[in-house]
Amino acid sequence: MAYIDYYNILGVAKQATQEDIKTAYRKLARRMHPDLNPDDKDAHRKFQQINEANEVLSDAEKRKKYDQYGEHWQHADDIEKNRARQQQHGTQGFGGEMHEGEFSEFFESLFGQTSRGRQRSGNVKYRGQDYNAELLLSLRQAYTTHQQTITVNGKNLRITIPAGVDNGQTIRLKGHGGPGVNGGPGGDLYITFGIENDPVFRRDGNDLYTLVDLDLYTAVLGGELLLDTFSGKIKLKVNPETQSGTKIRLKAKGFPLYKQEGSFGDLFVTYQVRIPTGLTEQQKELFAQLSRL
Amino acid sequence: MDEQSRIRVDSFCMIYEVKPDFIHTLQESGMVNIFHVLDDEFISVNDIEQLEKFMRLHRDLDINVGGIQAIDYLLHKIKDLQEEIRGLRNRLNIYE
Repeated sequence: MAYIDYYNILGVAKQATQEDIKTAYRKLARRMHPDLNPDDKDAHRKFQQINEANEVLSDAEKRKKYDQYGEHWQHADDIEKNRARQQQHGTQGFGGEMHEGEFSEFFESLFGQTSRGRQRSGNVKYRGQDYNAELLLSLRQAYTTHQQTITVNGKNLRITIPAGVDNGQTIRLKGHGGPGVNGGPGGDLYITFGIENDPVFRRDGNDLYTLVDLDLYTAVLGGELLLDTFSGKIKLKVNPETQSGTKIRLKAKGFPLYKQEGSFGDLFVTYQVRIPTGLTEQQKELFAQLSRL
Repeated sequence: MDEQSRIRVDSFCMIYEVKPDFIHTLQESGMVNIFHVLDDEFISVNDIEQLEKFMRLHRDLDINVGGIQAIDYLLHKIKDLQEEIRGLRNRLNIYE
């Protein structure tokens, strides 16, 4: 485990006064506070670091020990003794509530696990930490409401994913985050969805777009074709003399609207007329005849 | 509102170790709704999460109610903008 330079974290000199430390901590805490930086894991990590640094440097006794052992803390024979002594003292400080796991191993080796937490809070109930997770879905999966089992902090959780969820959208599962402190309610679990691109359908909001190849004969003479969609096959009637690039709109055959059961966007189909290749001599002759008419 | 959905302001203040003045100032700023049942003041349990955030900002960062109100407004604005960016990015991806 690495030595942590708490002075460097707070950006103060080793000779800094308590007022300097308090000022530096407030300045950094106001920038990195998790409530001011939701979804910013880097800010959360930095906030924990500055809290830890403040925990040590704002406490005269802890600061003295930290200064005494400093980077040679691993060689200090009496750290264990200090730890036992430290357990007699609570900590007093300013800062957000701290949860288990929010102090570094370095901190716990130097000051012991019982130093964690804030006596200031007494038996105040705090809700648990919020967790963030990411889940990748195919466009087809996002089309239907379905259930998936995900693992959060070693626990399996079966969640229902509503149809129509969007790329980058975050849903909240109340109470599925970290456990509360002193019997407080659990934190929330935030799941951000990533939706993979589909090779056939392109999604724009709730509308779907697709390209359909049309053979020359159907394009000229008209006819029918079957289109595979996420909800099954659709029969398309092709008008005679359909031009390449013709776009048709199939109402309510697009993507489901999020949490609006029975509502769908539209499906836009663009026809691409394919010119036949590898013509036989007879076919070429017939085309030639056609061109002379 | 049934009893499960509300909490008395004085109980809330005792549990969270916060002064009732703070909650009342939030109410005056329109940031929390206090309602009365007979002679008692209550807040909705649905507001607790938001109140916890306000208390953290107040306690951790020494920010007064006016500052919290400004922060809350800006955080909402950031969230709306992020939603807009997400929608625009998704549209942009279509053309990439």
